[in-house]
Amino acid sequence: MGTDVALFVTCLVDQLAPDAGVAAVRLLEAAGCTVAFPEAQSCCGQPALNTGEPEAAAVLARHFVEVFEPYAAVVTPSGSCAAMVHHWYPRILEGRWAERAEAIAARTYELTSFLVDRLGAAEDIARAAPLGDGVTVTVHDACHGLRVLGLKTSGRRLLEAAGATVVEMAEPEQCCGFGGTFAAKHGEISAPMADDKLAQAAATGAAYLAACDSGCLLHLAGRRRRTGQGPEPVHVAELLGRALPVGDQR
Amino acid sequence: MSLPAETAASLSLADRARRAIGDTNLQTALAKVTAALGAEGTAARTDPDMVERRRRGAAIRREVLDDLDGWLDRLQAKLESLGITVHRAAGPDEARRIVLEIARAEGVKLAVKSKSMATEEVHLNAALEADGIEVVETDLGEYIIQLAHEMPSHIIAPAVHKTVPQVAQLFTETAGRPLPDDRTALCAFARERLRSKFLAAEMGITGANFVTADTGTIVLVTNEGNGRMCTSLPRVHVAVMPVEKVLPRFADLGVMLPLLTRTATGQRLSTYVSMITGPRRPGETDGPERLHVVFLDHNRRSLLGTPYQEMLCCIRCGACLNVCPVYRRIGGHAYDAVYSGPMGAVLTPLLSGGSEGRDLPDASSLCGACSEVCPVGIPLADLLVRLRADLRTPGPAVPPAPPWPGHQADPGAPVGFPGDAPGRPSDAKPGARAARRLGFGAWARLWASPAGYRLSAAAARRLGRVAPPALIRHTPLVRGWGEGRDIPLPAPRSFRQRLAARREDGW
Amino acid sequence: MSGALSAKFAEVLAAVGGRAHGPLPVDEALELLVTLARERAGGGAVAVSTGDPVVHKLGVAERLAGAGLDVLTPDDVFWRERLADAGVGITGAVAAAAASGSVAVACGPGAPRATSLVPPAHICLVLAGTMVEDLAEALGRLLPEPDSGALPSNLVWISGPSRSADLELVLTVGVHGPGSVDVIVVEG
Repeated sequence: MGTDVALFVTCLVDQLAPDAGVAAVRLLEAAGCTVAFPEAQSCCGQPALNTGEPEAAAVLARHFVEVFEPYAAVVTPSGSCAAMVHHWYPRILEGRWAERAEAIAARTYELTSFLVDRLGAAEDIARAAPLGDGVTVTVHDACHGLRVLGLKTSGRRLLEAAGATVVEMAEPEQCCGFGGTFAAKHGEISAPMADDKLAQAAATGAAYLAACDSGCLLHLAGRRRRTGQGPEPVHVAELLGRALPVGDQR
Repeated sequence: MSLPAETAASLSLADRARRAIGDTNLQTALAKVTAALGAEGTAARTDPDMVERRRRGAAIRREVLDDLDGWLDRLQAKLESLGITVHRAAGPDEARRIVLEIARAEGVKLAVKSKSMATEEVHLNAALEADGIEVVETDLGEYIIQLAHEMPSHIIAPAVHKTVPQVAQLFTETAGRPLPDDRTALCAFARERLRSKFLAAEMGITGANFVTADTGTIVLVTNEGNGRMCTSLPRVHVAVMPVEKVLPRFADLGVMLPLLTRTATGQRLSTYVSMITGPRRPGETDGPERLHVVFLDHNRRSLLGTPYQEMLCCIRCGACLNVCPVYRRIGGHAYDAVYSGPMGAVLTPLLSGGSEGRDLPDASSLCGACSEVCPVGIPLADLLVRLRADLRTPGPAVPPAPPWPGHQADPGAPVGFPGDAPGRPSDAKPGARAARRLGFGAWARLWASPAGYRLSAAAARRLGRVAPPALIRHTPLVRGWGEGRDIPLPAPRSFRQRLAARREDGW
Repeated sequence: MSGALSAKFAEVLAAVGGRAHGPLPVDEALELLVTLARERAGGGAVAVSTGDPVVHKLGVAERLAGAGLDVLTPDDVFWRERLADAGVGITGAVAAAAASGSVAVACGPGAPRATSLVPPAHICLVLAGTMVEDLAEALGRLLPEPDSGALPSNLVWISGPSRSADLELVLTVGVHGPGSVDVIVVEG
């Protein structure tokens, strides 16, 4: 019994952090899914919306709708992109387009939530990608996934099922300072916010700082390379992916 | 060190933020206040007892906004039946003129003020002082910033950025004698100094937390007792009421008051809640002989019927400031506005008709903690996103409201004017704005085409690999990123390329 | 029922720095009042809102004068000036809310606003029968019909002593209003 899903890999992951995308495919397959990758996909449109250009974002929203409409389920390794589809597509599109977007949003899922809540596949993943109990991880709750989609437990569940020890930082729900264009436009505020997050992560003593959003992770990793502070930022999927056997076909 | 208002106005938001982040006293104070009050706001959100109260509070606020003009008319009739004089001020100029005329008519030499953000919004003190009237802020925090000639840095604790030694110095200068770095002594000084003002003042000026339409009751929420002093001792009381403060029913206070106090400070109720229903009555020994209420519009009514109408639900609890990760780092002065934090970033460009705070909506990571904690459910983060779009062109984000029927607006009272306020670092010039719009439009269409995405991504990857880091660092947007972080370079192979090669790669 | 409410009221009021006493029968309440008034007044006058219905009903002013205290009443020609030097102000209340430790003090002829505000201490007498669970209930009782004729020109809900946290967020008590608040709950 396989579930057919289409992967929305996101422009960030495609270009800058492909390991998370590869891991997403392998984890979905380990959970028994057949993963399609519609080649025509590009970007959910957040950068345009956040810069105050909703018309441009709507162009990309309509493209997303057309690309993914044929599929029964859409899965993405980015909480913020899934949140964009759920929360903003119905607001920046109108009439029939908005209805179509709502229908697709209802079957668009963030990766870890899909695996754990939808498929109940935490144990399957754990078997395929055992982390071993020496692995300590602290989790950053990326804002849009948390507040728009209610993501809180699925990433942790996957990690713990796979044997990792999750150590909570003082404020896992505090924004890391990425905010998309905010990070570039207000680097003077964004960087100290990253420092706060990295300091809290460092205080846990964990080896990894995991999240379900590559934007946050790239921002934190970039800051960490400058300051040397904090554990290695890594996508939950990518961390599990490293535990998948090399050369495994299924 | 904190910024006097004149200095703040000449720096950009980014520079003010940098100064704030580098100010260790301020960072300590901010950490303290946001941790303490933020915990209360979050507790108020998650407490099962509060869930129903938040829902009802949100409903009451929206009930008013569905017919704001109607509720104001009903409230005015009720207030007038109690012997209260009601004035309507379309904007700050008119509000100042009204209060000044009352002060002149009453021969006021000294006015005592209880904390009122609305009066700061219209810069009332300056207008009265220019006319030779002494105005004394009596809320301890407001008294401190008045002496320091600064703006409030937090809506609930306006002087939170000041250390005890800094206050001691301020009070020493005022007292003309040395005062110790001791809270009790400093409070005792303030109490004694302000008491003589309370007793001598001819006029008390307050805001209004709520005003109930069915009974005409003005409600003031305070902790120190200065609000009570201002409304008991002087012979005239003027309450400046932003139009959205009207509540339908006296009974609604049972929902709204604990909602406000719990969310703002964790208190079940503030120490004093004054419910004022009319001026002094025959046979009474104290209380104002004359009571005036000024309805303040200042572009609030222009928000009705737009997505920004939601912002008028705000009950000024300050919870959004306390949970905002940006506010926590940069503090209130960096916003250079009367209202700071997320609510200030939304309100300032809207109330000013686009003449102030145009850059504030950009100073947010859109994390949504504000929307989450708001006790009346204002989607603050969404409003910030909308403002980024609606402030693309000069002038206000929304068209001005029609004047009140039959209301003669002050002819010389601009309620907002097109373009940026003089002397402020402006946002992009028209050419740059158009270029941005075209650029994003073109990018979107390019990336909505599969070939366009593939080709442009491939080009960017090649460029990223061959361009020297120094060049990358100076490209706009990328430069901002590169200020504090290493710039991520495109991966050697994109996900698409790796997917295509999965068989060879063996996964 | 009233016992549980009073206990809750006392607990909450204590938590915000006030003190609750009782419920006590009238005579004991008045005896306690004399003791507290003498302590709080510290040699100064005892200001009494004689026009307040509870104060009037209990004969407070007479009792205090009989105990040798310097009683200042609102009909005194120098009320306003002498109030500034009084050591304590005594009022009644029209209601009390246990959930917030609050008393509702109304003004009226012979019951000035300043009695519970200007002196450094405040003692409030409240009838146990007027104590309810919370503010919402109290407001409903005060105003069953929206008719502002029933509302006084000034009704203040007092929950403990005056306070400020404006100096580095540390609490200071007794800033402008009284720093000492006692509530005596009287049976009936």
